[in-house]
Amino acid sequence: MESGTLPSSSTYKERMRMKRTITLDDCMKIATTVYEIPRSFDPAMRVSARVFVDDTALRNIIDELSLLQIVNVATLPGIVKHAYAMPDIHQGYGFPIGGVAATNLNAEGIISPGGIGYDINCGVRLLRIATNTHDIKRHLPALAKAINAAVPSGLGRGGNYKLTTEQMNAILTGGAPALLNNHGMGKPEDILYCESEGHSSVADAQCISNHAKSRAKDQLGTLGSGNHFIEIQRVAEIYDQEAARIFGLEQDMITVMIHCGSRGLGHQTCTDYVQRMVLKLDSWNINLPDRELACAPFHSPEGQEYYHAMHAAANFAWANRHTIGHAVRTSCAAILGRSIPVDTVYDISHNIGKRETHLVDNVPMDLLIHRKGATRAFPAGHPEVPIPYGTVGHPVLIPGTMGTASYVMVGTSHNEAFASCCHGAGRIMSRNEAKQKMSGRALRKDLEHRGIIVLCHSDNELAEEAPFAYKNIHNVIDIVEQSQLARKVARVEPLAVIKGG
Amino acid sequence: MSTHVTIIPHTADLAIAITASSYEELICSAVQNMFASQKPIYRTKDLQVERTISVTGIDHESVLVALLNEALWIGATHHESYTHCAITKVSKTVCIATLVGKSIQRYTGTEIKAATYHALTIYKDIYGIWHATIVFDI
Repeated sequence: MESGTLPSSSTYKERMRMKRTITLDDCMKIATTVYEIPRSFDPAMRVSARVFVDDTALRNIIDELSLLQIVNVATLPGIVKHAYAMPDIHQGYGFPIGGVAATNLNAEGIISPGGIGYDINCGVRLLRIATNTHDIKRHLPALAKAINAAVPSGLGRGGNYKLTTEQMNAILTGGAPALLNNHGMGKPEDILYCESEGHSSVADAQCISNHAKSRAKDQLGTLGSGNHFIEIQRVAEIYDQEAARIFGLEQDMITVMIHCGSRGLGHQTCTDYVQRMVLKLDSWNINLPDRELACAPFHSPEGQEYYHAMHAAANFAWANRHTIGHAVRTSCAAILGRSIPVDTVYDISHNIGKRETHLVDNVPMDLLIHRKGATRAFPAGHPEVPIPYGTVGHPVLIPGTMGTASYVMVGTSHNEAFASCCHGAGRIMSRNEAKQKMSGRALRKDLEHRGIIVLCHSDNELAEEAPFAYKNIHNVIDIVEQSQLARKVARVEPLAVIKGG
Repeated sequence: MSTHVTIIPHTADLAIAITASSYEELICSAVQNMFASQKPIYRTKDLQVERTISVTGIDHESVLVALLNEALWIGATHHESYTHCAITKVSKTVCIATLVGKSIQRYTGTEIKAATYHALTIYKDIYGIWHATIVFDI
């Protein structure tokens, strides 16, 4: 056996071994909540890196690898303007979580599966139930139990649907509307109030491997594990009455938030294309600081196949949240009665690559926007905002933690980061550290003591997602507002948490 | 020597460091620890199963990542978890392995979505000991 040698295709190991570190002195303050790491930090950077944090938040991540990861993103071929990191930035693999990168499709722009993530089109759907905290109180335990029973969750468990090849291909091609049109599942409004109306027309089911299809054949309508959840919430505070009215949200109203993605199909699709691209980096003369940033020229056969495959996986994710939303609605009908409407407020993606046109140096540019743990935040008047929301912009859904709060926000016209926003609170603690700090049993008691119903089989899984393992969501939201990425519409607080595990 | 595995702190994902006396042992330890970390609950009445998987790559790193991801795929597809691994053939560009395990009811740990290339290192030190650091997306 030969010793491991440096791969000839790239210098990533050498770069990793240089132990580059970023200090506070490397970060230039541009505004109260905007820091910039200039190109001079690393000659390989093609653009500077901008991070939306305040002084305290910057100090909290300075020893983490996330800043180095956003610097690495700034070296990608074809990247324009800046590599951006959202206020919930934390260490990921390749891209940091909360990373946004735009590549120029008319130049050497690339597409990077790692810049979109393994859970393709992971996202959040928010439903509103036309009832209030007082009226639902006595039904809450039964409703949480019914939803928990209707939505399979946890790792290694199959779902209620076994898809045939034809059904799988119809979903990969048609997304959520395929379920409405072919099976009568859901309502037309569920599709209208969904990013991209719940489907992508550039999806190609043939670009998804049989491996990926077989991995997910029984996963439609399943929640999965990790940080995925369903929460029953109450609207605790309204900040923007007009936007809230347009979104159909009222003080004390009940909402249900669903967080999940494309399950094994997305994971396998990302895996398949990262591997293919790693093997071809040399032939494209692409030199990367981290192989997990593996990418392909957008217009190459591999780049195009991944683009179409990624959108097919995104269709599966929309169909998955649509199916879970349907199960929630059915559960509500069983427990609360059929006369209580359950409507979709919005469904937003936070792991996806979208072809969009944005101004760069005042010139419209055809771009691929990679959002890895980041959402869109299109403002009023944008053509991709659902017509009923046209005067305010689409809802930006930002889940916090199971013990604190989540936010509904809306885009602003001043957003400098390709109309992007953060996707959550952002972890600050590893899962092991969280488990050592508090047991799942103690956490469960603490949440129940605060009146929050917890349905999660695994104490371990619960402890890993403890609220203290995340940044303070209120601080993160303040930074979002100060950076003009989005503005607050409403705060929702958990009444019941349903998690896999 | 026996293999040694330590968990490296990582904010969002799972990072492990492995040492082993051979590349084959290193690979098998990575496979076994990947499945063990998800905490399987086995179906007690089912018989042991064997699955043979084969991958190619351009170097040790790409072969290891490909093998781990192929093992994840076959486990997810058949609802199985594997406790043993035997390498039939291995080089810098190929690996054929037989995985031994059982059907599972479910996992109680956090799902591993994929083995990644991020910060991946594999090398043999001057004493002939193999070292690897692997980050899994969870």
